[in-house]
Amino acid sequence: MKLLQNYTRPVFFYHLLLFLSFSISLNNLIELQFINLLFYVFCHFIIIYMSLYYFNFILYFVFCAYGIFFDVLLLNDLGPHLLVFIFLLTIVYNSKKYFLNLSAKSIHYLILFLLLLVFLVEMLLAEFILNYSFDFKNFIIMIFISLLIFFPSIFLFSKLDRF
Amino acid sequence: MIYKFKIKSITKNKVLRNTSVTLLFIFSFFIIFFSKTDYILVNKIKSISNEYINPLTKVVSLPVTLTSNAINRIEEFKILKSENTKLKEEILRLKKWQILAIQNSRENKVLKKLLNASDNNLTLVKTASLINRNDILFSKSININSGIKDGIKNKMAVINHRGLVGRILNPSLNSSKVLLLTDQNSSLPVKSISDGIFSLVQGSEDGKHLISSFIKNDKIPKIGDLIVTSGTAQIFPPDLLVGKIVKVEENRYYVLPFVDFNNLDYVQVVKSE
Repeated sequence: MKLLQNYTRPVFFYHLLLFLSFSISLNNLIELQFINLLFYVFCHFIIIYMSLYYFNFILYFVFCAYGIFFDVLLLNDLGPHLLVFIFLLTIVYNSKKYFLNLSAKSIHYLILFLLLLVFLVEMLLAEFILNYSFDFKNFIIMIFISLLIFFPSIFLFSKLDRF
Repeated sequence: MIYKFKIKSITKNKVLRNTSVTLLFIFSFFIIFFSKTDYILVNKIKSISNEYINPLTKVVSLPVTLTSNAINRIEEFKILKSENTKLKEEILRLKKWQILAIQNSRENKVLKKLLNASDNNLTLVKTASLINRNDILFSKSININSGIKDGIKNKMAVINHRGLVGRILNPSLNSSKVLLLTDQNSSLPVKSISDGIFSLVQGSEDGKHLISSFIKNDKIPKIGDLIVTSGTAQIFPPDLLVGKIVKVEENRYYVLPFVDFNNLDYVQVVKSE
C-alpha cells in the first residue's frame, strides 16, 4: 500500500508527463509537426513548473540527463538545453524566496515569462555555440503555442497537484 | 532499500549536496567543451542516446504516431480516385522512358568500352530503413536501423534513388544518425555539370534549399544547372546527384535538392571503391 502511495504522488505523474512529452517531441510526425512543437513546449513548461513547485536536489541530475538527450537528439551536439536546464534550476532555487509574496496569478505569469525566456536563450545559444541560426518563425510558433496551452496546462497541473 | 537510504542521505547532507551539484556543473561544462571533439566520453553519450533513448522514445510516442498515420491514411483515401488516374498516365509515360533508358544504357556501355573509361564505382554498404526523424527544430537529421555492426562508419555517404541524402554521423552498434544535406552545419563540395564550376554548398535557414558558401574563381553557374558531388573532400564519392540551381544572386546561388526529405523510407549507405 505504501509502495502504491509512492507512485500516486503528483511528482511521479509530472515525471511521467515529462518523459511522454519528451518522447513525442523527438519523433517527427511529418503531417502533424505542430504536435511535436506543442509537446516540446509542454516539456519545457513541465520542467519550469517542477523546478518551481517540486524542487528536489535529484532534479539537477534528471534535468541534466534531459538536457543532454535533447541536445544530442535535436542538435547532434551538447550545449543549449543542458546549460539552460541546469541554470534554470539554480536560478529558480536561489530566487525562490522572492516569489513567496507573489500571488498565484503572478507566479503563473512568471512561469510564462520564464518559458519564453528559456526558448529565446536556447535558440541564441544554439546560434552562438552550434552555428544554428536563430529560427524566428519557429520562435513565433512556440510563443503562440505557449499562449495557447498555458491556461489548459495550469488547469491540468492544479488538478494534478491536488491528487 | 540500501540504495534508497543512500539517495536520502545524500539529499539531506548539505555538503554532499553542494559538492555533487558543483561536480555536475563541472561535468556539464566539460562535456560541452569537448562535444566537438572525438573525445571518448562524448562519443559514448551520443551513441547511448542514439542506441537506447531513440527507440525508447519511439515506443512511448507510438500512440501519437499511429494516430498521425491513421489521419494520413484517411487523407490519402480521399484523393485515391484522382491519384489512380494520374498514376495510369504516369505509367504510360514511364514505359516510353524505360525503352529509351534501356537503349541509352546499352549505348553507354558500348561507348565506355570504346573509350576504355572506368565506371564511377560505388560500393553498397547497407540498405537501411528509417527509424525516426528529428528535423523540425535546430538540426536536420534522421536515424536509420543500421550501425557499426553492418559495416557503417562515420562520414559515409547516404543516398536514395533520387540522389544524395546526407552523411553518417555518430554510428552506434545497431543504428546510425544521418545528417541531412539541408542541415545548416552540413557542408558539401559540389560542381555544376554544364560548366564544371567547383563550389561548396550548405543547408540554408529555410531548411529546404542548399546555399553556396564558397565558389571557386567566383564563377556563378546558371539557373537550371544540375549540381553533383565533386568528390574533392574525399567524404562523398564523386558525381552523386545533389540538386538543381533554382536561384542565383550576386555572389551565391540556391540549390533545390532532388531528394524529397519528407518521403524517406529507405536509404543506401555507400562508399566509393
